[in-house]
Amino acid sequence: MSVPFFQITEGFTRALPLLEEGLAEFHRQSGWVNDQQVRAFEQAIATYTGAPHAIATGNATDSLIICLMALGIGPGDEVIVPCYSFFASVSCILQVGATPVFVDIEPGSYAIDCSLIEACITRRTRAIMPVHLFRQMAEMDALMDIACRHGLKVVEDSAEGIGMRWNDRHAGLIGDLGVLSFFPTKTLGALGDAGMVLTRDADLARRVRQILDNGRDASGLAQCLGYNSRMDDLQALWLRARLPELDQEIERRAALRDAYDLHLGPLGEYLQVPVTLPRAARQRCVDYVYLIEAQNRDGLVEHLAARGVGVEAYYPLPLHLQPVCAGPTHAEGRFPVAERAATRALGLPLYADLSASDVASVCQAITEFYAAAGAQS
Amino acid sequence: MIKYQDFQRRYPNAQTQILEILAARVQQGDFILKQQVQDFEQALAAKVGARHAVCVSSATSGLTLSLIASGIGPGDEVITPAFCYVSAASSIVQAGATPIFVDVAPHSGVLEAEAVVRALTPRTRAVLVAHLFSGLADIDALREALPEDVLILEDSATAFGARLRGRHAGTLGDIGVYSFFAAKPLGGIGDGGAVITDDDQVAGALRMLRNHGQDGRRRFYHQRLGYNSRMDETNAAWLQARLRENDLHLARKQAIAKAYDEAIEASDGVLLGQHRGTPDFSPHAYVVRSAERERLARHLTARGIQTRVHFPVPLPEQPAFVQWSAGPAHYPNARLLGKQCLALPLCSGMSDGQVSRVIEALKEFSHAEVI
Repeated sequence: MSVPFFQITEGFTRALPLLEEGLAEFHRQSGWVNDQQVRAFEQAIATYTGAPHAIATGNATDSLIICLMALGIGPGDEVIVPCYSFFASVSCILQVGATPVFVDIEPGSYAIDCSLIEACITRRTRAIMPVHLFRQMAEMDALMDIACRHGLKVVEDSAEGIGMRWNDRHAGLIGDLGVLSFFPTKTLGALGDAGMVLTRDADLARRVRQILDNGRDASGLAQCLGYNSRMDDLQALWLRARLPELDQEIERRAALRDAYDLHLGPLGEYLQVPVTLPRAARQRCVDYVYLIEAQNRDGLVEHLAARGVGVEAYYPLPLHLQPVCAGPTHAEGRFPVAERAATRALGLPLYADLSASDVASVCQAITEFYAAAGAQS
Repeated sequence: MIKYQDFQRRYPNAQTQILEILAARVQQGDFILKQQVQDFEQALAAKVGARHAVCVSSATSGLTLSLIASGIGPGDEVITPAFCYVSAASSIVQAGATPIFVDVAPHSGVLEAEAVVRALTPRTRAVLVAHLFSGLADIDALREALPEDVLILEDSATAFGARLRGRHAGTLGDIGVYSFFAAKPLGGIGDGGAVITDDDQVAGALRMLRNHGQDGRRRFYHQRLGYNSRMDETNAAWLQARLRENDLHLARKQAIAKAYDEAIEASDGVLLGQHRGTPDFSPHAYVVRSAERERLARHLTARGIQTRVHFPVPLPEQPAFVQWSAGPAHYPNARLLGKQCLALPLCSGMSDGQVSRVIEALKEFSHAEVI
């Protein structure tokens, strides 16, 4: 048995006709970076998400840095961020010279625990950066209420959030700025690195466009300090060829989640399947990652690896414990929910092309692992 | 219409080639910073005779990461040309260091040792010296003139394939940077760059900095404040193929440039060419200087010939960098070149007929001028 953590061979075959059409246009065009194919993809994402401004970048890490730069956040400023996320959620804050202030997460959604935010706000706080991880968005009503009362900006790290909605508004469009990642394994994945910034604010959108192109305006003059973080036209045309299938694939992912839930239900003694926290808002969840919390997680990883099952521990080390963030205020034990999740969380294979029998074999392997453990104890 | 850059002519089989690369990547399931990138890095290092080639997402990023990997940051000064692409300044500021702009030589457009030495202070940690258009800066002369502890960061974004006294551009200083932007001498199918160095420590630091400060063994364990500056496998696979055929394209472009040279020589000084500083040049752009640049551009456009203007405003006069300007009087050559330079179409896919049409149009212009 071999079930890779991610693959896209069938999706590639399905997208081939649109891909070939795009390639023919691309070949005729003499701009292969941040050019016509990228404009067309931005338009397509604007339509899908309802974003007034969708701005393509090189990757979502850069998107976050660019968002903070566009808001003028820098040295002396504090940004509140959950301590459980991919590194980019904190490195973007450090890159602009600001100070991250960590907050623990809620169990279940893995999103920032909004009840802990206000105690962290100081005179220097400029922004809150919620992260929408795996499947469910942060409690955005509570968060926006806090931001509004304290006059704080909100940058949504919605890198994993394509398709997720809050009261029918797409992830990334509730705060001032949001991002999307098109890393290959994402719900909508490129064949390389690519990202985006979403915003409703025309002025921020204009600044974002300058910063990602080395600070240059349309005439080529550097108006501000920027990065080179442009999307390749090749990635844009591939993503545009994949977009028409996105909603169908999201439904397919939900069906696969149900199948996992069914198989893994009997193992409740050893592992916890994903839960959906109830919210007052209408929420559309998207199963980007099927994340379980497992007893003896590292032993399970080894067991599955030996059977050819690809898994990912999302995330083995919380942000406050990363070597880069080391400091007296970031001692172990400060953020118990995140620290417990970091020892137990495990992402199982989940993508549109995964078959029901793949899910069954993965679950069979997990069942075997705990049966052996049960027999030993 | 003779396009300034014509990818259809340069890569007649691109559609099939790209589709094959994408299909292979999808089959393999590897997309970023994997075997293709490693293979390309090895081939590139071997081609130019360097110990390490480290691929990054762009040359701009390569310049920034090179400075950071060398421990250059706040409080340090980096000398850089006043006449260059924006990243020659932005990369220094991104690293937290201070750009010190120095004017370029008018005949070559690049930094010369004498002017650089005049700008040295006790805080100078590096010189970012950029090769430009079709010419090379004399890195050997610069090395001789500089204190040993001043790093030479050789911005070879446009100079891949050129050699100075037999050695490749990019390997002449301490650290070299190539750009693989599609229009460059070694052109990718998207943004991309590489850093060239013989220093194991710098190479190791760069490999961590480009991938979120991870060491490549332990995932999600971030030891340094890194960036996301990675090369895609698709781009690396494409670049391997382009590298193999690069000598052929280089020879064709040199031939076109030499044909243009004759038209410039025949203009009796109405048009000026660029002093290239080496016979082993790699023409990224063929730039002519004219006191009547706008009229020349109109003249060529009217004959269906696309041209391009590079760097009309000196870097220290752009709003983003004006705070580091020593004052407009310090950069007369940068301003002059910004007013006079015009780049002609130059791509290996140009036909002999197209080259002749450009030459005829240039002759017509300079002949009319003489009358």
